[in-house]
Formats: sequence, C-alpha cells, structure tokens
Amino acid sequence: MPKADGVSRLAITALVLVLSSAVGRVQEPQRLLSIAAESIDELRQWDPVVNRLTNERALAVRTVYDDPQVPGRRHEGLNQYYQGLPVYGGDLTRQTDRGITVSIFGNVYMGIDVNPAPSITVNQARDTLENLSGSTVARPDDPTLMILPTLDGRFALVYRASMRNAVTYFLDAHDGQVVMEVNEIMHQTAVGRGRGAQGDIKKMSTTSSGGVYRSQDQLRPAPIFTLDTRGNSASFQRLQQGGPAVETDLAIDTDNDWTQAAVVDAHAHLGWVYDYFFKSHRYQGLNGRNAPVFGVVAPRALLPSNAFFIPPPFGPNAGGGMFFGEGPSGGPMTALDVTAHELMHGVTFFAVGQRTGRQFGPGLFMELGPSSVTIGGQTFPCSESGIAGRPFFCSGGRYVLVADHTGAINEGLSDIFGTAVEFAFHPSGVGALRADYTMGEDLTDVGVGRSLQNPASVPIDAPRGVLYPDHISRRLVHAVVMLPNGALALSSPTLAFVGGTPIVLPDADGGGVHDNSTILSHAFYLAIEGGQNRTSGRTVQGVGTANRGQIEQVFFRAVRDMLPSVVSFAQIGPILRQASVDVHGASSAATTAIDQALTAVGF
Amino acid sequence: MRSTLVTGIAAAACLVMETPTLAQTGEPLRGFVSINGGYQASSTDFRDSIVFTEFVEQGSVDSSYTVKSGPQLDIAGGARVWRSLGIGVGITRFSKSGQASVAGKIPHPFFFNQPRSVEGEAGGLKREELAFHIQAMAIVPAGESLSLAVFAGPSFFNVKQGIVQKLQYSQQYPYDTATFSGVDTDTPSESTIGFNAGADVGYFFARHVGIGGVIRFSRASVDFTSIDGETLEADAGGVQAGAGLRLRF
Repeated sequence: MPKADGVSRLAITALVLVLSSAVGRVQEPQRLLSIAAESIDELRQWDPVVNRLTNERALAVRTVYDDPQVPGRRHEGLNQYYQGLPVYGGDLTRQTDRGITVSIFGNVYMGIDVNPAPSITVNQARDTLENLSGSTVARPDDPTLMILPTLDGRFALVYRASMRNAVTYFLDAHDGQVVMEVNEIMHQTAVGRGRGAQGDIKKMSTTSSGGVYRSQDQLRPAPIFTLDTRGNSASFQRLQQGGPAVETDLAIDTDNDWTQAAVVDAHAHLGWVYDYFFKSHRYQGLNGRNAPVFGVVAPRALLPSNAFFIPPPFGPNAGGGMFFGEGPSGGPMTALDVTAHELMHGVTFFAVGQRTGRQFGPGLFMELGPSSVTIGGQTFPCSESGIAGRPFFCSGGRYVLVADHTGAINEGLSDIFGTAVEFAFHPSGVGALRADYTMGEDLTDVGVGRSLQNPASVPIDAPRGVLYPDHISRRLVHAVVMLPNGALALSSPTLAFVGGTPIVLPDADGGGVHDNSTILSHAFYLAIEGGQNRTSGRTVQGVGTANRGQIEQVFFRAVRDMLPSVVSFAQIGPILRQASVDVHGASSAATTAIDQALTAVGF
Repeated sequence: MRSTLVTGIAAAACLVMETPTLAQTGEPLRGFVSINGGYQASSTDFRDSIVFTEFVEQGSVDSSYTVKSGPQLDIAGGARVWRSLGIGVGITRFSKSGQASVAGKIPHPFFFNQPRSVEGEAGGLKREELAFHIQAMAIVPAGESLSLAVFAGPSFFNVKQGIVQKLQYSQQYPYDTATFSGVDTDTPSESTIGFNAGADVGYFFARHVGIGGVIRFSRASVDFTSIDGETLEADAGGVQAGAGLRLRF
C-alpha cells in the first residue's frame, strides 16, 4: 500500500536521537546504549552491564517467560527507569539458555540528568491536554509521568497521555509545552481506481439471533466482530475513539447470504488471519490471549482509500481495532493482504507491548546531512529558511535528517505477514485472488501499493520518479524543521533525501514509515525466493517456496520475543539473524538465507 | 431364475403323480405342519450414500452395511390337493443386529472445498425379516417313514432395517479435522414381494409325528428411503436351512 495520506502517523516535535549506524557503542551526546549483542564477545561486554544496571535499579524485569519454540530458552523483558520513572524507548530483551545469556537487544539511555519532580500537577496536565485535544483522556491512569529523550539531545520530564482524539501527547512537566505527539492511527493507504468487488464466494462465521444473522464469529477461540458504521460519522468516531461497541453496530443479514462486500471480506479475512497466526505460530489473536478482534467497515465518505489499525485505548471497547474504508469507486479496502497487514499491526503492538510494557515505536533515528542542498538550481544552505517558510534544524551547519526506523520496520513486518497470510490461503500466481509479493493488488479500485519482490517497481512519488527502496542506501530521510514555537517537526511538504539526493516531496510519511518499509520486506522476499538485490548486486540463496514457513517463523519470533520497543535499522538485522539461529540453527539453510538476504539489503 | 425354479418343480411333480399315503395305515396324506429352528446362512451387503448440507456446503456419508447370517424361525403347513401336488404356506422370521462401515466427508466451517474425512463403525443396526411364503409343492413318495417335498412360490417380505441417517462427529478449532463419534439411525419398515423355493424332508417315527429338515432359498429386493430422499436398495432372504418337528395328517 502507498504511504499515508493526510494524517501523518507521527507529528513529531522531538524524539529519539541516535546515529543509525551506531550499534553496541555509547553515542555522544545522546548517551544511548543501542545494544544488539549476539556474539560471545558482545555478550561478554553487555551482559555484565545489564546486570549492573539491574542491580542499580536502572533496569527492572517486567516480564519473564519460557520460549514457546526452543526448549530451555527464556526471555526477559527489562525496562529502564530513572528515579523510578519509566524512560521512553529504554528497554531490553534478554534471551537466556538455561541461565546463559544468548542475546540482548534494546536501548538504554545513559546520563539522564533531568529533575524528576514535575512543576505542574497531573490535573494541570490533564486540563491542558483536554483543552488542546478537545477530548478526554482515553486511559484512566493517564497522564503518566516519564522521561522522554528528545531530538535535540536532552531529556525531558513529560506527562504522557492518550486522548480520545486518537493522539498521544507528551507534555513537558515543567513548562507545560507539548514536546511530542503521536497519531495512533497506523495507516494502510492506497490511491488508485478499479472496477468493483472480486466476486469470490467465501464462508462467513456469523451469529443468529432475533431472526437475523449478525457478523459475530463465535467459532474461533477469539470472538471476531465486524462492525458496520452504516455511514454514520458519530458511530465511526465512537468506535475509533474507544467508545463501546453495541449489538446494533454489527452488520446484519436476513438470510445469512451476505452481499455487502466490505463486510464479507473484512469478516472472513479477519478470521483467516486469526487462523494463520494460530496454525503457523500458535499465536492466538491480536494479543496472543484471544482478546476480541474488532473490524470496522466504513464508506468512503468516512474513510477514503484507507485502512488502519488503532491500538488500545482506542478502537471499539477501547481494545484496538482494524478500520477499513473504501476506494475511489467504492471498492472496500478489505483485501486479504490488507486485512492481514492491519491485524499484524495489532499483533506487533500487543506482542512488543506485553513484553516491554511500551508501545512499539515510533523511533526516529537521526543522521546528519550536507550543509547545503541545491534544488532546481537554487541552493539552500542549512540555517536558511526552509521550503515551507520554516527554518531547518541544523547541527554544526548540517541538515539534521531523520527517519522513523521503528515505524518502517513495523510497516515492513505488516507487509511481510500480509503476504504470508495471502500465501497461506490463496494459490500462488498472478491476478485476482492469487498469492504474490505485492500489497493491495486485490483492492478492486486501488491496485498495487508496494512490491516486496521488486520494491522499485512501484513509485512512491511518480511525478518525481521516487521509487520504493530495496536497499538501506536508498532509504528516505527527512529534514527537520523548527516550528515558530521552537519545537522540531517534520513538515509537509518535506525536504527529503533519497539515497542522498535532495528532493521536495509533498508528504513526510511520518518519517518514511511506509516509504522505507520495503527494505525489510524485500529481505523477506529474498530469503524465501532468492535472487539478486538490484542495488547491492548480492545474490541470495532462498529457502524456496516450500520452506517459506521457516522464514516466517524467524520474523515472527523476532516480533513476539525479541524486538525492543524502539528498534533501528542497525538493530533489526542482528535480531533477525539471532532469531533464525535460535529456531533453525546457525548452519541451517534458513539462517544462511536470512543472513544473505539481510546483507543484500544492507541490514 | 424364479421362473426356472417353478418350472423345474412342476416338472418334478409330474413325474411323481402317485398319491402319497400315511405310513402304516395307507390312508392318503391330507396335510402337514412343520416347525423349524433354522439358520439363514447367507449374508448380504448393501451401500448407501447420503448427501447433506452443513456449513452452507454439501457433505456426504457413505455407509456400507453387512447383514450377516443368523438364526431364524420357520413355521410351515400345507395340504395335498391332488395326487402328489399340494399347496402350502410358511412363515419365516429372521432377526439380526448388523453393522455398517461409515465414511463421511464433512464440510469445513470456514472454507469451501476443504472437507474433513471421518470413518467409523456403526453398530446395532437391526435387520428383521418376516416373510410369508406361498408354496406350490410336489410331494415325493419315499417310503413309509420318509417324506420329501419340493416347493416354490411367491414370498411376501416385511423388512425392518436400521439405517444411518446422520453422522455424529466432534471437532475443535481450527476444525481441519473431525472425529467420528457415532451415527443417528432410523429403522424403517418396508414390504415387498419375492420368491422362495426349496425342499423339505421328514422322517416319521410315529404315525403323525416326525422330524425333518428344510432348505429354502428366498429372495426379495426391498427399497428404503434415505433421509435425503434417495432410494436405498437392499436384498432380503437368502439360503435358509432348518430342522424341527413334523406333523402330518
């Protein structure tokens, strides 16, 4: 699917600051320990550090559970605290084998020197945020006090609160200014045109009561509800913002022979996706514990050319949910890979969240660009006025460029499992209702959004010739601008750098979360199918289609057991390699394929 | 086959037109009664296929029935009508509990064209046959103490048969397999016409009383109606052999 339209996933003013190439070293001035330790030498270095931080109560064990795949293995989720306050993005996942540490992945911030006593009270923060958002807090225990690493290299004491307008705010607890805000809607957007429903017949697991049938699946261990807004914007808002789902929200049919394509596809596909995770990974539903699954279908007037997952405390019954709109001609955004993509966002949210206690991302990582750029014959030195009349944020006279690595990995994982689900239920091939490595090809009036096989075959921005990247060297990064109030932000339009080449694009895509997602998803393709990466020229010996499950296991293990709440492009490679060694062994064909594929895309 | 047998028996009767008499008195034989405990020696097999709809898709149950041999009760009587020719009637009752091998294809609740196969055995399927035989008979003189008769004629069968109506199975998510747990059955009753032919031999140790044996072959085809409205065709009767009391007058 193409990137988000309109609403950025992340409207940052500041966030994690780290050099993307930094792994396993202390970075100055950000003072971040970005750990991806899997070798004996790395573990010998980092295991004592983690133990020391734990003894000093800078790290606290949040979760411990036995590995569901590898006997004898155990996973610990450790969260970072400063003066008893949680540190945003500071968490680790440590894997042990009968007490011996096997791997450590995550991030820990050092040198935090913020005053932990807030200058404004919780009630004052709540009032400020209610006035700002025009809504109320979504979680009863919000706002919560925490430490936030900011983009300009300092640490801020903030109140964090998710509001009913589906935005999470980070409010400075000393001066009451918004430091960061996150739009909680995870987009799956497409723009195009088509000619209507696919016309395939599929079974619906429904519930009969009162002489009608309702779109409530009671046959699967997790109840699955498909809600129909029926074009009612109040219902849409209620369900999106965490309001209660009521029986009249369910789609109904008088003879159980359903004709509303959006309801049919959403309901059946949500069930199929549940089946895939259960059968392939023994994972039960959104949260692995059979929490109710809610899908919401809405007409184009309410949700044009879009689908998204929204996490708790939003969505129906404040439990999160998948929302599906319609394309330009009314075709539902409920193709199987799109449905699986959105539900995978939920799986990632819950799997990482339950282990780390934190939401997965966003995780903006910074790098320094040139001191000036030339576009259309005009040179823009940094510190001059930006392209939208806003000054760029510069460091040492160089552009500060960011990309949301965690968001791109999140989107890549959703594309990966959207594709995996498609292969689980459709015969492989080309055309409608065939499994392939493109996203959204079965959306009847939208068309292909991204390609895992050949990312560059699909444009991000056709008029400017910007293509989806298949290698880390072709990633998109965006210049940071300073808002009038001094806050840092991404802008729309944005000054982006595509493989180092500056270009003005209409939208920053929340830091390139969709744009850069194809680097990881292309590695998934190469690990299965093999072939040559067009940018690096490296060849991968894939495991073959008959063994695709081996590669899917590796990626799923990374999500369920290993990803920290903030993860960089530099960390995802070591994590996946370790996951493959854990499951398949160091000398297996799968591990070789994973290693070659990750190397081929630059991870 | 039926007409051939009748013709053969009639021919035999023509060859023995001498009037049979009671032993020791020389009085002409007027009639007889036989009571036999016997054994229906032949088993019969038949099949049924039921189509049903579940989870908005058609499934099927194929049942292979076997009715094995078993004991029967046979009562017959007759009268001489002219010289060596007579008529008789007989009743046989056969009852046996049978079984069926059941193989089903049960639709998947979530997916078309992914049926789950189940197999099992259904027991306690009762077969009851009550046959009323009308017989033309030729009584063959064979000495004062022996009697021999051959007979043939139509038979009227009433057959009850336990048949499988519905498959019972257990399943659990993800429903990719199902386990046979039993069947629902019905025991319909149908009547039909067939034929019988056989021979009866008696040894009389007293004027009116003796012992004897009978061998009979009876056959009829009976049609039951399956739960899906289709016809289930089964055979009734078979080779029957018995022995018991003989009375003559």
